[in-house]
Amino acid sequence: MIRTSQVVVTGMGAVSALGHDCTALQAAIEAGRSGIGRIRRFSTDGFDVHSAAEVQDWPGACPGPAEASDERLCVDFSLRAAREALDQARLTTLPAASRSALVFGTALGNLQCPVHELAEEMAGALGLAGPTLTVCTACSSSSGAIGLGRDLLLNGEADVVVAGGADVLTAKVFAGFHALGVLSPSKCAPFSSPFGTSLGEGAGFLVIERLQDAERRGVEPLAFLSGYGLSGDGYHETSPHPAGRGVEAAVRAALVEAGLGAADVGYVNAHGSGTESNDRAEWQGIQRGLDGRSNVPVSSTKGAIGHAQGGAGALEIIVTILMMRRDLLPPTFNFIGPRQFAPDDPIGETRPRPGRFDHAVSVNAAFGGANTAVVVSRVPSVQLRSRERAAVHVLGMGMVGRCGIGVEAWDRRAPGPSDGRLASFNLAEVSRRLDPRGLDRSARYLTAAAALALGEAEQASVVRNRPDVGLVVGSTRLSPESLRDFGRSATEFGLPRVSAPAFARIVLNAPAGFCSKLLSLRGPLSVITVGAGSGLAAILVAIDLLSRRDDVRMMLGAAVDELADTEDPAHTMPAGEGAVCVALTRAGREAWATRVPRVCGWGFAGPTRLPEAVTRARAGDRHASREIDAIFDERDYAGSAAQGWALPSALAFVAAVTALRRGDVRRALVTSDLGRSVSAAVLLEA
Amino acid sequence: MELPDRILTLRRSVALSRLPHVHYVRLRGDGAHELLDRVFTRELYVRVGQLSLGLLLRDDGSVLADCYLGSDEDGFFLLAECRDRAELLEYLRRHGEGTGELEIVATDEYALISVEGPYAWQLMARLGGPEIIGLPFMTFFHLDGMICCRAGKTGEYGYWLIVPSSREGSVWDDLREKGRALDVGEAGLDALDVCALENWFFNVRREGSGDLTPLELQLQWRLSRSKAFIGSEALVERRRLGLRKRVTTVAAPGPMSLGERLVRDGRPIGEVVNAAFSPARGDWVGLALVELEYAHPGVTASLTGAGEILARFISTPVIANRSLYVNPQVHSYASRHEDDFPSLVPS
Amino acid sequence: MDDDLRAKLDRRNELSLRVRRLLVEDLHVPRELDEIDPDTPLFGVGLTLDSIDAVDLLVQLEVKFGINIPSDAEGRAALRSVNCIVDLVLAREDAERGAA
Repeated sequence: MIRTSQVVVTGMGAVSALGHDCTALQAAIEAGRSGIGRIRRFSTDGFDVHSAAEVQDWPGACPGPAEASDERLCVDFSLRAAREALDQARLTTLPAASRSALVFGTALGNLQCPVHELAEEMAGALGLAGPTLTVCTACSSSSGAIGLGRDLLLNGEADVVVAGGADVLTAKVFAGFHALGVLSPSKCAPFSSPFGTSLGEGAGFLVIERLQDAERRGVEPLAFLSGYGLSGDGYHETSPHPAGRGVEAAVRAALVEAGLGAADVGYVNAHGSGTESNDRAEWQGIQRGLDGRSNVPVSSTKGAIGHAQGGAGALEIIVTILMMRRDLLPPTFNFIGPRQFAPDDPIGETRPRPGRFDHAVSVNAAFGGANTAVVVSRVPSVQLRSRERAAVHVLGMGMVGRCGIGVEAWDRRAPGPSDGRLASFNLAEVSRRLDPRGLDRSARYLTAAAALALGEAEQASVVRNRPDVGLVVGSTRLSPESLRDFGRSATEFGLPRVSAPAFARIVLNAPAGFCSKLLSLRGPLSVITVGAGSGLAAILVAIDLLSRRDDVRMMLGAAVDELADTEDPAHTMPAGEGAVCVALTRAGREAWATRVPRVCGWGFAGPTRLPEAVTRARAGDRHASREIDAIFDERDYAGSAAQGWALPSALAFVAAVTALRRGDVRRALVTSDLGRSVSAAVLLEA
Repeated sequence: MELPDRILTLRRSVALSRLPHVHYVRLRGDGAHELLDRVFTRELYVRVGQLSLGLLLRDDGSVLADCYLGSDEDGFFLLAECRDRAELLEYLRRHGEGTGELEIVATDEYALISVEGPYAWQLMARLGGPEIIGLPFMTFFHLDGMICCRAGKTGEYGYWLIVPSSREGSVWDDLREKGRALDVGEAGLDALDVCALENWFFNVRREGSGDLTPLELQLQWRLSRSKAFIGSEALVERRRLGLRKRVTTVAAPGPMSLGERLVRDGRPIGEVVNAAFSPARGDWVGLALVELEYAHPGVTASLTGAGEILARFISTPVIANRSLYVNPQVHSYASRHEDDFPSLVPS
Repeated sequence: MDDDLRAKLDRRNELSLRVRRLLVEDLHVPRELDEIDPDTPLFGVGLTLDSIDAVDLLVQLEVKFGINIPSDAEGRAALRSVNCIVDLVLAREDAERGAA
C-alpha cells in the first residue's frame, strides 16, 4: 500500500557564496546582492574567465598552509548546513538514530576517495544510523536526493531524513566547464545576456519528515514537500534536449505525484544556468509541462549563488522556501533585458517581488540528461487516495562479464575465459545499431547489459522511443579509462586547455547518460552510489520508483564496474568487471505475470542492520508466512575484495532470479550489507 | 525570378523549393533492417528521430542513390535522390528478397518542400513554434501531420518537410505568407544544385551520374568500415588497384562546361564533371575529376573549351555561408545588418 | 610538374597527413588515415565532430601547428575540412616568410 502521508520540511541549512547559513542567504537575496566575484581558491591564469561564486571566509578554503582538501571542504560545508537544518528542526539529538537517514547528492567524483565515503563520514558525524544513500546525477544530484529522501519516508524506511547535497569549486571542474565554453565572461545572467553560467559551491540540506511526526514533536513545518519527478533526456552527454523534452516530463511527473494541476503552480525556480543551450530549451519544457502557461513567474537563482552543481538543487529549493515564507518571489539576478525566447516573466527586478504563492516547482537539469522537478508548497496539496502498489516483476536480465555476454554465460565458480577483464569488448557483439563512439568502457558495458535486458523484456528492436522506461545505475567510481584520459589531457595541455569531451565523461552518471541516450530511455534517470551494495541499491530504487509511479512502464536497475589497466583483476575484483542490468515492469492480472519472478518486498536499513532490511522486505509480502527457500548474499560474489564494488550485489540478484526461473527455488531472499552506507534486502518469488 | 536572384535569396534570407526529385520511400517490417544492412553504405546507428546521410551503390561501386535514412516508430524511411525512381524501387525489391517480412512503399501521397537559408529557422518557428529552432542538424520530428527534417544540401539552415500531397499547396501558401516579412523567395532545383556545388554536397544527378565510386568522389566518410554492403567488394578491388583520380573543386573566371578538359604541362590532367556560375562569388565553380597528384588546392590548369581560361583548384566550401554567423538565440532577419556579415566569398 | 609546384604539394601532403593523424589520434575519429578525404566536412555531416570536439580541435591545432583560431563563427568557417586547415597553416607559413 502506498502511504498517503504528507512530507514536510522542518529544517533547512545553507552554506553558499552568500553566507554560512539561511539567514545570511535570505538577507543577501532580499538585498539583491550577488555572490559572484573573482576566484580566490585557485589561480585562473590562462583561463578566459575569472569569476565564480565562492563560499567566503571559510577556514582552509583559500590557498595557504592550512588549505583544506576538496573532500574536507565538501564534508565541512555539508555538516555545517545539515546541523543548521537539524537545529531548526529541533533534532539536535536524534530520538532514533537507526530511523534517521541521510540522502546526499553531489557532482563530485574526481576525488581521492570514493564519493560515498563523504556521505558515510557525514552520517557518522551527525549520528545518522539509518540508510545513507548518495545520488550522483551531476547538477541535479541534490534535488534528486531530496526526492529519494521523500520516498524513504513514505516507505517507512526512515522517520527523519537529512537530504540535500554539496559541491566544491575545484580547478578541474572549473577547467571542464571552461573547456565546454559554457562559462559567462561576467556574472551569470539567466534568460538575459551574455550567455554562460558562473560556477558556485556550497551545501544545502533539508530535514524532512512525515507531517504527523512533525506535529507529534510540536515542530512547525516550514513547507510541504508535495512531490517530485525525475526524467532522462535520452539525448546528449552535455547538451540538454533542445526542446526541453526531459524537463517537461519531470515537471509533469512532479505535478502528478503532488496531485496538482498546472494552474496551481504560482512560481517556478528554473535551473536557469544561463547557458545558451539550457535556458531556452528549459523554458520551453517548463511551459509545456505547465500546459502552455507562458505567464507563470520564473526565475533562476544562479545569478545570486552561481551554479553550485551538486548542491544547486537543494540550495535553490531552500531559496524558494525562504522567499515563499516571506511572501516574496526571488528575482533573476543580473537580468538586463531578455534574450530571445526568454520567459514572459523572468522576475527581472533587482529585489524580490512581493507576491504570494501556494505551490512552486524547482527544476534542475544535468549533464547526461538527468532532470528533476520538486514541488514545494505553503499548504498541503490535494490528498491522494491510498492505493495498492503495483506488483513488480523481473522481465529481463542482461550482463556482460568475465564469462561472456548474457546472464546464461555467467558462472560464479568458473574462472571464465578472461582473467576478469573485458578490455576488448565491442558493443557490436550485442547490437550493431548502437553507436559506440565516445563511450568509455563503463558506458559500453552498461549499454550492452541494458540493451540485453531490454531485448529480453520487450522482444523488440533495440531502437525505439522509450518515454516511459527509466534507469537507475549503481556505481562506485568514475571510469578509470576516462579519468586517465582527462588526467593526461590536463597534464599535457594544462587545465586551461583541457579536453572538453574527456571532462564530460568524468561525472559518475556519464555512463548512465550515454546508455539512456543510445537506448532512448526517457523515464526516471538516476545514479546511486553506496560503495559495496551499489548494484542492489540501484535495483531497489528502480523497483520503488516503478511501484509508485503510474507513468513509468519499465525500470532498468543496473550495476557497472570497470577495472583500471593497472589493477590486478584476480585480487581486486573476483566478480570481474562488467555490467548487470535487470528490466523490471509492473503487472496487473496479465497472464504472463504468473510466469515471471515477482518482487514481493524490499527494504533499506542502516549499515550493518541487515535484519531490519530483511524485516522490511518481508513486511511488504502478501504471503509472509511462506518459507524462504534460499538466500543469495552479496558476500558470495564479492570474495575477499577490500574495495566495495557495485556488481556483486547485483549478481546475487541475478542469481536469485535465475534460480527462480529454473524452478530451483520458489522464494528467494537477496541480501547486501558489505557496505558502510546501507543494508538492503529484497524478497523474490517465482 | 532569374536563377542568380533565386540563389542569392537562399543565401541571404530564406527560399522555398519543391523537391520532386527526392523520393520518399517507407520500409516496414522485420526485413527492413536486413535490407538496409545490405544496401545502405553506413552503419545503421540511427536512433528514433535521427537521420543518416548515406549511399546506395550498384555492384560495380557506382552510385545509384544519395539518401537520407530516418528511423521512427513506424520503421525506416529513405529520402532518396537518384536518376530513376523505377531503378531505385527495383533495386530495393531485388535486394529485399529473402529477408524477413518487408513492405516497400513509395507513393505520390506525399510531397517534399524545402525551406532553406540563414533565416529558415525563423520561418519554421513561425510555422511550428520556437521549439523548431532547437532541432539539431540531421534530426527530424513529426509536426502537425508532416515530418520536419533538419537537413538540406546548401550549407544554410535547412528544413525538408514531408507533406501529404493534399496539403502541399496550403503549406506552401502558408510558408509564403508567413515568410513575407523575411523576404522569402523560391529557389527551385537549378538553384539548389548550384548551392550544393558551392557547399560540397554530393550531387547524384551530376558528378554522381557516371561510374565514379565514393572513392573518387571523396565520399569515404559515408562508407561503413565494419560491414559488407552492395558495392563494397568493388570498392575493395578499386582500393587494391590504387586510386588514380579524385574529384576536386575548381574555380574559373569564365565559363566551364561538363566534359571540358583541364590541361597542365601540356597534357590533360582532368575533366569537368559539374559546373555552374556562382552569383555569390561572381565566378564559375565546378568539380573536376583530376589526377591524384594534381588534385590539390592551389594547383592551376587551363580549360580547353572556349579560349584559354586559367582555372584554379580550391578548398571547399567555396562560399562563407551566412548561416554560420546567424544565431537564432541572438539574431533575426529584421535586426540584421549587411555589415555584420563577412563577404560571401571566403578570403 | 615543375619543382616549385612539387615542393608545394609535398608540403601540403605532409601537413594533410599530420592533420588527419591529429583527427584520428587526438580527436578519436574512428577512421583510418586514408579514409579521411581532404575535402570531407569535419562538422555536421562528414566526420560528425560536434561543438565540444571543436574546442579540442582548436587546442590541438594550437599545440601542434601553432595556429590560433578563435572559437567563434570565423573560426568555425576556417575548420570545415582537412584542406581548409592545411590552407590556414600554409597561409601562416607564407605570412611568416613574408615578414622575415
